[in-house]
Amino acid sequence: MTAKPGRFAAYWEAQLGRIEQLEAKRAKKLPTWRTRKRRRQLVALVMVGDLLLIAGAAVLRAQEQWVFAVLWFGGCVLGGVPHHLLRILTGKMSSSFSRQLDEREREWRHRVTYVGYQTLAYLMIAGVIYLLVIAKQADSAYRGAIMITALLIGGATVPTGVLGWSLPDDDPEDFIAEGEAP
Amino acid sequence: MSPVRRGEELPIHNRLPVLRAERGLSRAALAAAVEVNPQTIGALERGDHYPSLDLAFRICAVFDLPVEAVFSREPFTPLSTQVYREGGK
Repeated sequence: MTAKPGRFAAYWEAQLGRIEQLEAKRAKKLPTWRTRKRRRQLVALVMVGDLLLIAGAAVLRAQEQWVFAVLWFGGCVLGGVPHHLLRILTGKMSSSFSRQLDEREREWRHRVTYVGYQTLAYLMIAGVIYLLVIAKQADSAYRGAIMITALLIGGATVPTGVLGWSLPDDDPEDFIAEGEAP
Repeated sequence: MSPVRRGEELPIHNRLPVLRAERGLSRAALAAAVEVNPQTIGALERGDHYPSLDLAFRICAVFDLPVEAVFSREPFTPLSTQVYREGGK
């Protein structure tokens, strides 16, 4: 029985090491995009993508199916690609385990997670109200599920969005390698 | 800016840029020595983040200096001025 936790711990350490290496690589990607202005543009695109998903869920019954499909496909592409880029640009704070963050990064993560949680709670309240409103209409469960999914995706993008919006421009001096003269 | 609430009237100044330059340490090298991200050293130098007591002690250990020589509530006098004045006494 004692071998299992040891093996698991070793596996976990190896995984953390891999993630650390991956993050170190990602920290050097898109060097010209590492400004607050660029990140804020991406946040705006993510928000447009989220709104398209919500709009698609809202018109699911009133419009033809293809309108919903176009809005959701557009929302996924317009929101998904910038969100992925934002995760690269915000680094470990948005994608690593707490154990791999230092004190400043943890403070940031606590803040954006809290904002994300609050926003998600309000979005879920909106989802519940939407469900109550459409309860007696046709396909209410299906439409409600699609709307909740859209709101959930929107809420899940909030922490990375807040990080991308608030973090200052990257300072090139932070990326001078160890051993190089400052 | 660090997201932690803090008194506007009670900033913490530090001598990190001067001490790093004096010892030829990059932010990355100091960060590695105290086990934080280099961006955290940058945030400390810009005054965007105030260190925990633990981090402050770790930084002071790297420079082998007491806390009050590295961090202060009051703005530091430039080291050159301080050295000149002390030398002139």
